[in-house]
Amino acid sequence: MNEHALEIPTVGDFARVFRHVQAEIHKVIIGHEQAIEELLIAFFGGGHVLIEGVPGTGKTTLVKTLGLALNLSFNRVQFTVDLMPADITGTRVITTAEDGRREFTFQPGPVFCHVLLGDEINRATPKTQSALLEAMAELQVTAGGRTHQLRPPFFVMATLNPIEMEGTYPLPEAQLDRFLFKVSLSYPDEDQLVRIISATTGPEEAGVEPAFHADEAAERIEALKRLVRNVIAAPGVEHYAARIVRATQPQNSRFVSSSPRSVHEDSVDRYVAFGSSPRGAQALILGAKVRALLDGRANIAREDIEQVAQSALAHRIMLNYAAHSDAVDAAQVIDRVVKSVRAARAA
Amino acid sequence: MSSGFKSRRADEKVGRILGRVRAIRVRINSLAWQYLLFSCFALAIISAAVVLFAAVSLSPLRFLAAGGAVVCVAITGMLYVVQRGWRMRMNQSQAAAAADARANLKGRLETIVQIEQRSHVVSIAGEDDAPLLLPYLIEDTLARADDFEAGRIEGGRISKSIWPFLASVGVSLLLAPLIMRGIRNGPPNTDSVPSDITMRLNELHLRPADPGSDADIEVQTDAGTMRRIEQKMAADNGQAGQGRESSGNMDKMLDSAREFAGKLQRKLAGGEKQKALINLKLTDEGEDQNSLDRPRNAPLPDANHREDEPARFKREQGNRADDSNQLPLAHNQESSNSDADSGDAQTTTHPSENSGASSGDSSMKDSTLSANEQSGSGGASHGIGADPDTLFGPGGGSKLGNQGFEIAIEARQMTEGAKSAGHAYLPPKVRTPLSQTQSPDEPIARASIPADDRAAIKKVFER
Repeated sequence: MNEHALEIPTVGDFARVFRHVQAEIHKVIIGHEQAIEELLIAFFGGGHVLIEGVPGTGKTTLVKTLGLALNLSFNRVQFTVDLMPADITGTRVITTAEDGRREFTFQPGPVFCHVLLGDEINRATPKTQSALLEAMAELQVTAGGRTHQLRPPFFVMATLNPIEMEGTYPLPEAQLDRFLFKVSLSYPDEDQLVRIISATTGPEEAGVEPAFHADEAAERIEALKRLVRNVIAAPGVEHYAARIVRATQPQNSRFVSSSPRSVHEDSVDRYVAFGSSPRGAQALILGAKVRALLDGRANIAREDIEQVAQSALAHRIMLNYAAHSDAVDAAQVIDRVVKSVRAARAA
Repeated sequence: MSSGFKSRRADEKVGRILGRVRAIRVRINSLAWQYLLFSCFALAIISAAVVLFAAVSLSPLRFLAAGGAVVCVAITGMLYVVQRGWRMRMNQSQAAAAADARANLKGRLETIVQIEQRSHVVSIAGEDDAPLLLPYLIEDTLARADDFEAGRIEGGRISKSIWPFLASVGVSLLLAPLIMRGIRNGPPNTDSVPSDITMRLNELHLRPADPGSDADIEVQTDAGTMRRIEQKMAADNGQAGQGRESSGNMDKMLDSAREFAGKLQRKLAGGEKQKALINLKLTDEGEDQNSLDRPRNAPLPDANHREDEPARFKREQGNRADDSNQLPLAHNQESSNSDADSGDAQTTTHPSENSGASSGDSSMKDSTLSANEQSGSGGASHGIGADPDTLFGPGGGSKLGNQGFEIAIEARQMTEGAKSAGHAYLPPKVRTPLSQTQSPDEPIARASIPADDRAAIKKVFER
């Protein structure tokens, strides 16, 4: 690819790179098509992903393969209860200089990479969790009173194990809010399981062909992410996203629909303790922009927003006890919200 | 490529897109207005036709109910239509969104229109600070220009609501002959009804005039007959009043409604102009008194006999031509009698039906009693003592007088209902089984009155 194309990728370039990476990941990961697409959307949207899945569903392999497909540096941190912030961000150690003097130098932690897997993030203490979250939000770490910048692209994929909750520290809502998408990995079906067995127990493992050369990967990926930001969002579509986010907030849901007692209002009023933050609207628009580019469009449509609503909003709303007792999950609430806002617009 | 050239090209392309969106909007709005107008006209036409039809074919109360319902439905429908038509109108952005949805353009048109409205994309499309992907969006949208042609987005130029409109016109045209016929037949046809009618009292069925009817009839009769009519009406009113006490307000409301509906009907059907005065002459005859003395279980005169009664009455009138108490309008007898022979005279008061309706179950001899029975009010007083003149036995023959009075009586030519059914209206009889402590109501045998008390009793009844 020439230098001009590297600077200003086209809509077609984006879709081609995206599909290539997707295909490379699928060489290793069997199934999970939707999860992988959402993972890549979040990656190109410049966000981070929280993956929830039972052990053995390929979470670590997925992140590792993503790093390989993009030819980016990859690190993995296993979060445990005794993990300290310095174990992630890095620490200052005493080193001997060439002139023999001893001095403190910063030893970068595993966070200094392009793709980081934080495995079972809920097993670490909140203090350690927040050390990672600073890196996620600010693209920087602070150690020993000094701030160190991370090299973009920086992508964190944290995993949550929904079982074995004993001795864990559930992520606070504020920290969950930092993840652009939350993706769920479920068990593979029988056919997928057979393909996994064939692919992983044979003499040869599937190889992954990187989409970029190592020396230009970061720059080209950043260019693609800038292209995503240039996708045009009409004011009406932005209002639509804002309306969906407000509809998840119990105190504002009644103003969204023309009907005083719509279905979503019932649902939100009854089951939601706290709705989505403005970051939810940002996530909706960014995810929709990536989807628009994948569809070969330079503008986002309402359909794009609806397609990413579950991934972008489900982890941002806090359900109350009524929802737990009625076995209502966030996905159901989001589904009702989207349908109601769509119906209100049509009316 | 120079910036100015790029800008002109961009202007051109965006202008083409916006022009198509404008054409779509014009067509959609045109259809919205057509829907509004056609639907409103359809509702108005069909409602007017139904109301007119109801005005000429239904009784006042039914007309009021049906007309009110139709008007309510029409108003509600028009409000709905106006609201819906108003909502169907679209601005440029809505038209673009509709085109996006129908042509599966995924928001391309809406984005261009909204960006143009917000920052005038036409002027910035060719500029260097334009959004990076805007030229791509414009080119991409233009490449699909055929998909959002106005004819493809909105197929027809004429709204489908024209079909209900045409249907309403058709139905109205079908109803028009019926309405015209109803207008011709609806009001009293004074050409076929004689202006002077002579009737016998016992053949007259009296009932309060319908408030909705303003047919004026002048009644002329002698003093005795007039008194009997007064008594008869008093008895009728007395009986009716007992029933009305409980439902007085309802009756007043119904009367008001009937009156209002009647006026409305006459306005719609044009009946005001044809209102005419009818002179109804009543007479009470000695010979007829004999017929009233007939026992109740005596056989009724057959239909042919009844039809001959007006002719018989005419002959009797001729025999009494030299009587001093002759009817004042005797010079009209020729025409009256000839009219009385015709069916129209009978339809006015239905003498045969009234006499038939009250005969057969009483042996009363008193003419007043018979008059009460004729009006359906017999039984309460058994006729005894109702008339002080006949309190102590059958009264003498009535003397004809020439006094006249006016009374509002509904006398209208009937083309349906009682005439066609062959019976006058009779109030339904409600038979209730007697309890064990009760005995059937039988007339009290006339007792002899002590001579000393006669004056006092007579005075009481005269009071």
